[in-house]
Parts: sequence; C-alpha cells; structure tokens
Amino acid sequence: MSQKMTGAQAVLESLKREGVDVVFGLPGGG
Amino acid sequence: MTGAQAVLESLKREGVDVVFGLPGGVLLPLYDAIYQSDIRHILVRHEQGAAHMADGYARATGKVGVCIATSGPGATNLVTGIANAYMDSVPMVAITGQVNTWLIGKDAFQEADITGITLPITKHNYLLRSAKDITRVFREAFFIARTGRPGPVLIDLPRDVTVDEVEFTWPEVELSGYRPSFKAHEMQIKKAAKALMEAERPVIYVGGGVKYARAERELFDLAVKISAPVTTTLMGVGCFPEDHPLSLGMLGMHGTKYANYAIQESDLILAIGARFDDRVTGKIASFAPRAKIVHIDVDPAEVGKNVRVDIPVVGDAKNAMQGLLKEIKAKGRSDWNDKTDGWKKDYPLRYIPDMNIIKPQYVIEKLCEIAPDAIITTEVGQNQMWAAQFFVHKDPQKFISSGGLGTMGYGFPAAIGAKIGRPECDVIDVAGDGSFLMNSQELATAVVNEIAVKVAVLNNGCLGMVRQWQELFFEKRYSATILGRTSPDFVKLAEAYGAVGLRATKPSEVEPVIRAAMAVDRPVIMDFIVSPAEKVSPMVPAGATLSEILELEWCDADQHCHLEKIYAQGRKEILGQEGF
Repeated sequence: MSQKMTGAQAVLESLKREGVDVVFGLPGGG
Repeated sequence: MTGAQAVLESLKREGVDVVFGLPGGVLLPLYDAIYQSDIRHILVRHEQGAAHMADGYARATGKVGVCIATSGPGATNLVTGIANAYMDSVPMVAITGQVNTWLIGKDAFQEADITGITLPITKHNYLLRSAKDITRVFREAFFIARTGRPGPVLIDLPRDVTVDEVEFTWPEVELSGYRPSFKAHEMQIKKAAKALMEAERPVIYVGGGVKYARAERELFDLAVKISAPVTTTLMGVGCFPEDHPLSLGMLGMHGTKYANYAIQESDLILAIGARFDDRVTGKIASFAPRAKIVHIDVDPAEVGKNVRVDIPVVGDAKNAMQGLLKEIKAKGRSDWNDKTDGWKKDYPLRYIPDMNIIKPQYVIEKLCEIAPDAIITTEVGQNQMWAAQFFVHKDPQKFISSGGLGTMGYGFPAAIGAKIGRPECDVIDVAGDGSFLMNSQELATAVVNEIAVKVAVLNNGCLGMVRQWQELFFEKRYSATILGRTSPDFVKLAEAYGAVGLRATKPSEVEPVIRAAMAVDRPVIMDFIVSPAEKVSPMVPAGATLSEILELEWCDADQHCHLEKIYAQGRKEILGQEGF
C-alpha cells in the first residue's frame, strides 16, 4: 500500500503507527 | 600552587576581570580558588545564561568573554551558548569541570564527553590531563579565541587537575599549526582597487568581520572616498552610520528594499567580513547577476563557500582596507548614487501607524528617540528584525544579536554581560513574550548584582515570526504558535524577582513607560502589549530573488496578485510541491 504525501505528513503517520499519542515541542523557522 | 590557583592566575594574566558561571561538585576546588581571588564572579541561574553573558560581554567590549560550568549537565547547558558564539565568531573561553581523570569514560556521576560534544562548535578545545599543562593551555586558548577569525575555545578541567600542585610558569604561545592570516596579499589589493575604480555601480556589503577588526573608520573613509553605498548584514549593523547618505541599511530577507535593489543592480560587490549567508543572498542562482565580487575575509574557508568570488582578498579587514585606501583615487557622486538615493526615497522602511493599538515598530522608534546611544541586544524573531530596522544604529558594539544560530533567549543574558562590560551605557534588550521566557531566570542574576538592564517585551501573544510564515505560506494554520495571554504577567514577574515592572497598553503610554524605565537605576521589564497581527516587512519570500522583496502591509491590487504568486512559489520551496 502506498500513498503520496509530504515528508512532514510521513513523519506524522510514522509516529501514529508507532503508537505515539503525545509529543513535546516548540516550532521554528523555514 | 594548586591547579585551581594556576587557573585563576592564568585568567588574571590574560586580563580577565569578570567570569560568568555556576559551581558544581567537580568545581569545588576551582570555586574555592575563585572565593579567594579578586576576579569578579557573576553567579548565573542557568549555565546557558553564563555563556550568553560572556558572549554579550565580549561583543560589547571586544575582550574575550569567560564562562564556567560544572561537568555533565552544567557543561551541556553551555552548548547552545557556545554554538551561538561559534556561528557569530565571538571570542570566548568556556571552562567546564570534568570528573577525575581516572573516572573519565566510566560513566561517572555528572560525566559528559564535552570535548566530543563541542568539537564541531568550538574553534578549538582541550581536555586537560595534567596540572603542568594549565598555563600553556590557558594562554593558547585565549590566543586562539581572539586572533584571526575569533571564536569560542573550551577547556575541560578534571577535578584532580585542579587539586594537584604545580610550579607556576607563563610560557610563550608556540602553535606551529596555527597561523591566522592577517596581512592581505598586495597583488590582490591592487586587483581589488582596480575593480573598484572601474566599477560604475559598486556596493559595499559589510558583515561582522569589520566589527571584530575594529575597522569602522577605514570602512567610512573608503565608502566616502569612492562615494559607494554601504549595506550591512545583521552582524554588521552599526559598522557604518545608518543616518549617513551612503547608508543602505541592512540587506537580505528583511533588509531594506533599496539595499536589495542595489545589490541586484550592482556591477561590483565589495564584501568585507561577510559570508553570503542564505538570509542575505536569497535565491543564490540569481544573486547579483551582473556583479563582479571582491571578497575580503580573514578566514580563507569563507572565500567561494556560497558564491563565486572574482577577487579574493584573504586578510584582516582593517589591514586590507588600509591597503585599498592607498591604491584608490577619490570618486565623486555618479548616476548610481542618484539611483540608490531615489530608491531610498521611494521605498523607505515603514509601517502603518495606529492610534489605538501599539505597533511594535513604534516602540523601537521611541526607544531610539529616548535612548539613541543605548546598547541594544535582541532576542530572535520579529523583535530582532524590528530592532535592526527601526533603531538608527551607529556603533557595531552597540547592536548585539544572535545572527547565525538565531538563539531565542539570547538577548537578556547578553544584555547583562554587555552592561557588566560597559556599565556606563544604557543597555536595552528588545524581546518577545516567547523568547524572554527562555532565560528569564537571569532576572535573579540582574537583581542580586544590581545590573540595571532594561527589557522591552514586545508582547504580541504569539511566536510571531513562525506565525508570520504560517500566515503567508501555510494558509493560517497556526500550529503551536499562539501563546495568547498564557504568558506570565511580566510586571508581576519582574516584581517577584525584585525588579521593576511597567506596562503600556496603548500608544500614548509608550513614551512615559520608556522614560520611567530609563530613569531607574535598577533592572526593569517594560511590557508593551502590541498588535498581534503585525508582520515584519519588507520580506524576500523563501526561494525568491532579492529584487522580489515585498511590503506585506502596503499591497495594492496589482501587487497583491504578485504576492499570491510569490506565496505559491514560497509554498513550493518549503513543501517541495504545489500547495498541499
């Protein structure tokens, strides 16, 4: 099964599949 | 004497009069020697504060700043401050405690491999193994930190080394592998001078290297002699007086339109002590397409790193400009000056004033009006850009900002360090409500040591710079950037520490609050409740060419159309695809 997504979306999907329900962070620039 | 005493004696001989630090287990012998020494020790409340204070002290005075932290977490807490100094070429010596030499590598209590951790962010570092090496290593460390392209040097000091007895000697520095360039090559100077004479549309582009070489005078003479406009990077702010007709202010992402237009139209760029950073060049492939580039830099590794250089001049900025001044003839004003003057007139830095809500730019203008000679330090983000844009800077030692690393939480401890180094100056940290909290614990340090720094919090209730990008490029999805009024009451925070807190909620209160703050000889936090929607403008969107710089608040319909195109381009650059 494959689906087109951005790298950022892939990170989030990976976290979800690993069972992560909470992350702690602070954003930054581009 | 003991190793610890040899450390203190070495610091004294290097002219150190103040150190910033926080003790710990392995540092007990060193702190016992500090207790008995006349070197001033400023106790910080977090080691990151110590590193930034040493950094701010160094930038304000030109001397080497010194910070001290214990092994393990103390040392790792310095890391951000060391990286910050490394990126901005700040002369600093960081001293860290280390576990006893026989415990190194055994995962001892509070052990961290700090020389390994800081290898890529120090100019050099040392792990001392024997007390007899102390004096040699300290001499070398200060020499390396302040010569050539300055930078931080770390010395890791195991506990037993500070306890061992040693005969004090003061050896000359002999470093066969370290020969920092100083004198520029005569032939390159001649080539650069010829190019300058032939140029019709020259621009002088100045970075922090001019500040560290103390070459402002030579820069001024050079610019005036050939009537060449001057633009500076964030690190070069103040190297050329911004009220001078030849000044183009800052260039790059949030630089002036006229500086960016001048760079793009120029036929020659004389870069001095600058490194063609991505925030400066915009899209590199279309950067200054018609310009020949002369690059003066003390660090040969900078030449050709980011852009193709036509005439490299490796050497000290002051020395190289003295050479250039001898080779060039005076040149009067030309059409080029008329053109840049026209841009300055047509595209000034501006914002839409408001009678009811405080505009952050207005606060900066008032600070400049009331305290024009103050040392300004900044946090990072919108506050930093507004402080660079709307204060008229004339002295590079009086604008202190985290340029390369972009460290939120830098400005307040840097202000304390600057004030300790230059007690006769007013020192104001221009901050945001997000960044100030990152090192606000140093209020305790300021209060107990009676360091009368002033903090101007531009309180907009958000992580403004990131929010600005989200508004422009992420369809206003404000992911994790809205703080609202969840920050503490900054007036009460100040009072809780024994400092003075003042607040302005409308434009008419701005001036009285600043005047009241400047009149008090104590640390003060000014809480300015500012417009949350205000954006830093103008802006070169990510991936765009410098000439595509846009004013974000002043678009007519035509420009708005163009803006949408640029935003789409920005989204493409950021996301690697069209839209989402």
